[in-house]
Amino acid sequence: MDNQQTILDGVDPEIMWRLTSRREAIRKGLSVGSVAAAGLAMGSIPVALAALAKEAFAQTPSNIVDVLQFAFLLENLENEFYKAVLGTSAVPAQNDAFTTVRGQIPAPAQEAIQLIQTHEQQHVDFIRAAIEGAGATAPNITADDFDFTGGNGSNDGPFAAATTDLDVLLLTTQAFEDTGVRAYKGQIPLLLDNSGNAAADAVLEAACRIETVEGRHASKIRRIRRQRNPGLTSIRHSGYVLGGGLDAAGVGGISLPAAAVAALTAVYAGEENTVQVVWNGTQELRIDTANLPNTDVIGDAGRKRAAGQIAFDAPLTREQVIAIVRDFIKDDPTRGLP
Amino acid sequence: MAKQDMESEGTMIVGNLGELMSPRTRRTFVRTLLAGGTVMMLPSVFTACGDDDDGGMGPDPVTGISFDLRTDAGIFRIVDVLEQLEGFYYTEVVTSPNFASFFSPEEQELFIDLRDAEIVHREFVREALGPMRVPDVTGSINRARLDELLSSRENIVKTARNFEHTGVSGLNGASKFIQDQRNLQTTRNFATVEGRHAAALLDIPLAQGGAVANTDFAGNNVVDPTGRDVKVEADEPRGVFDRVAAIGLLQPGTLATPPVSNPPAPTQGAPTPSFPPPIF
Repeated sequence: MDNQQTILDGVDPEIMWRLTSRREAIRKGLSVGSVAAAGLAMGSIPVALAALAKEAFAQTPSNIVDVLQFAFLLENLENEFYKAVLGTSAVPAQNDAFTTVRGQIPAPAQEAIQLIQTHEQQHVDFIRAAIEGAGATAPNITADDFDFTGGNGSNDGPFAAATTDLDVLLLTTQAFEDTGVRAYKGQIPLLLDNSGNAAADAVLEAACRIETVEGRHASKIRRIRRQRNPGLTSIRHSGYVLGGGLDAAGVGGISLPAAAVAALTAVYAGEENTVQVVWNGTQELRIDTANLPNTDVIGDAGRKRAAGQIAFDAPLTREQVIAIVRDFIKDDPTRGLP
Repeated sequence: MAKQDMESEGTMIVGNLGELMSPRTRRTFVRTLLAGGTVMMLPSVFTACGDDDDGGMGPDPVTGISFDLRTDAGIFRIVDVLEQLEGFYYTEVVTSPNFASFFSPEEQELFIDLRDAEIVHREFVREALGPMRVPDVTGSINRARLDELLSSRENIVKTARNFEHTGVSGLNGASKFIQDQRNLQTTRNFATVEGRHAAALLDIPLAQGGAVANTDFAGNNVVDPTGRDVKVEADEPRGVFDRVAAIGLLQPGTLATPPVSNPPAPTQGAPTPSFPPPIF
């Protein structure tokens, strides 16, 4: 223990907190093998995470590893985007691109974006550890792989104004986060496992827990946008997505190129849906949540429809997500990027 | 229970005795009497008092509700209880006499959105369950506790945070046990909406005009060091049922002891280590 104290002396408080918290988790019953324990004793989160992952994810089926690879790409896109916005990218040109808008970000929004970036980095690290724990290889993705203007390498795509205009930046950020929520939502049902495979369940649960964090992020960005523009009532203080298609983006007075309008429309395609499908054990029910009993307190039919829309987020398929993000990723078929 | 909305000054219309049990109605009742006003009891007040009930008002109290988690319906029944409580509580919040003085217009918008979404969730899950749904639990509300949870801005914000974090953490823990792909999809469709709420409520300061940190919406008490949100199992210390008990809106005995009659089968999955949210 003395030895461990010495190693941890001088480690920054946040890392200390993480370690303490992790020890707490372990004490509360997370079984941990010797390599993970050694990693923890060394004070190394990556070593501990990788070792824990090897124990948790070794039996992951290949179709589930495939979902992890897709999530890994999206998390890297988000993470590298935020690093460029904050000026902490390893690629100087990406930092330089956002210099103008960076100067416009008020401190409260900057702090929120910084926390969001921290989470995206944690997601990247966690998913990489899960992929490697399953015995697969995670690609080495860097900021150089992305064009955050959505220009497929031109650096002058439809979202170029996000580098110079704070309102466009926040709208783009909201779109990234809501796409993240919807992408996880599309993939999670594919992770369903009824065989008692603990690795599959671990991936499913992690995806669920990451998905709600993305929901928190989207909620926060929506509130930041509404506070900047109190009259933009289609963006709710509650952080809900109201309506679908371009309406749900809440563009407000922002003037955008047609390609950006098309992209935002795709980001929110189908969010207006109010029909939820369940299997009750004997039959499939298709329940219209815009037309439920005992909901008169909500108001007229229009308000009930809005309530049915806000009460449920909606999934995007992998193909839909790839169509949205393709031009943010530079073409590089040799490395398996779309 | 919306009759007070139609009251003219000095006249109070009471539709059923249950209304008199609501703190808001009781206050209006006393105020109206003190002011020398008129209280009209509609015939329904008296017809509600059949001799087969114990002074019953509104739905009868229920006891011993239990949950068999070997099916998706069993898991949805937990959601049913939570959504009933949330829909009931938020309806009380937005109609409570202090709502407009406790909360700014922006905050009021948030709570009304919250009420709308939770009422939709409640009715959706009850439609989904059909005859397997849980009985109406609003007859088992602890009225003194309700009064307390409505009595201040701070209590309302804390209670709402507790409800939403129970929803997020409970759904994140239960999703692995769901066996039908459609049910898993639908569960996640509303789970992230609970996450949006949870974050929004952490942005409401406990004191009027107070401040929250810019990172509270997803701080390290609700997101773990690997970037994962809160998660609990249904029946464990600090799990869903513990949290429902801590909120205290249900009379003791409404849910069975223990509430889970059968845990999920091994093929559904096994419990995992939890990251419980705080009790706010």
